[in-house]
Amino acid sequence: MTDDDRDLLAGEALGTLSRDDAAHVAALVAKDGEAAAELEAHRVTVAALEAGVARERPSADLFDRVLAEIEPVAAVHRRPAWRWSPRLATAGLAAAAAVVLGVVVLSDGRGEPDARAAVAGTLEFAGVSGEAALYGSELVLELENVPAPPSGHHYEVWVLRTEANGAMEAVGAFTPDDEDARLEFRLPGPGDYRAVDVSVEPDGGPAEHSNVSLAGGKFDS
Amino acid sequence: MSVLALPAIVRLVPLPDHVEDAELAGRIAAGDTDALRALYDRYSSVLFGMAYRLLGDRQLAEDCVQEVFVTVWRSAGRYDPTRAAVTTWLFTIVRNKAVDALRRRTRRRADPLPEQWSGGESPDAAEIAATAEMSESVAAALAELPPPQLEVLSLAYFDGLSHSEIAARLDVPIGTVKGRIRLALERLRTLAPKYALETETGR
Repeated sequence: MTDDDRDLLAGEALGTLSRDDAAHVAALVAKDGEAAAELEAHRVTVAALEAGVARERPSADLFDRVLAEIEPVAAVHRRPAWRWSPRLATAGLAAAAAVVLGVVVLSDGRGEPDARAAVAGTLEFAGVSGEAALYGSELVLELENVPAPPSGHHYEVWVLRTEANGAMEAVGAFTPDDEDARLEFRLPGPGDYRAVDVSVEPDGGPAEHSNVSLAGGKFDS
Repeated sequence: MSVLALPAIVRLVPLPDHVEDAELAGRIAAGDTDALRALYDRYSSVLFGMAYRLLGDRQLAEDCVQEVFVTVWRSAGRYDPTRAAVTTWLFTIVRNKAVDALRRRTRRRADPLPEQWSGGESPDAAEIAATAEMSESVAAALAELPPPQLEVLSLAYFDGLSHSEIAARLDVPIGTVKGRIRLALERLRTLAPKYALETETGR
């Protein structure tokens, strides 16, 4: 078996050989046990790859979509994107007892939101702060000083609207990559949104609110 | 509380042929979208492959990868190369975002589940964690390949290009392409025990 044969065996395992080279490899492994064993070893490696990483490639325009999302933010940043408001806000739905030190005002190029909510941490998570904003059918939530969730837990975002008769509705889960998080969620439908809440949920737990909140806030009307 | 620092888009000096990941992260923190593009070109296929394996849905996986690079753009200033490699940082972000997307689906019971979570049964936390762990292990092993080997292997594995097509794309001799692919697979084979990669084809 030559070095070129060995190279072709790797290509055969990946399925990237030309028809002629594939025919050469087929003839080789039929008569050479060492070549057959090496091909099988390469196939095991490729199978391990496929078990963890799909053999797919994203659309060609995906990076353009990334740029489209960051460029408005960067443009706003020059104005700048985040401003401090001197007003104090009352704590949110699940954070009535929390002390709010300030309000971060969202401004990300979407224009004025339909409603805003100052978000503050509960007593246990008093360092958490941020703001929620409603834009049509979307909720944008920005949080600062978010701790990593306890092991085996994640955070869930809920909204409360008049039409739901007091029932909280989950709009999405997240695990923060950093202490600052910017999240966008699709709202469950049109309505009069009154509050937003972020809960601490056990992984694989029931669909209901755990009654343990990280932070929350009430929307202005 | 501190004001969130978002990088403004700037153009720095052109990137040389190969820049270390950590330097790219530094340039991204300074607002260099060329550096973001370079990091995207280097790892988007692997990250997409991880997200797709976990989510089983092309659109969700693309949304996930998009979120990853937006997060990288916004958080690069806080990345600390002394604490973790850039690849570790990226794989953690994509894992978290893919798992969150899956949780959103399982909690919104009206949404159909991806195909790999077959039978309509919601995957439990252990299943999700096991799949995510496998994806991270494979991606970490890939990240240990020398860049030239990772490049040709990615073109073969993700793009399905032939040896000759890869040679034309990279403007290198076809023998170089063949050799790099073989070396990449052999290197991955030696890394399999370290990352507990599956070693059976199931055939």
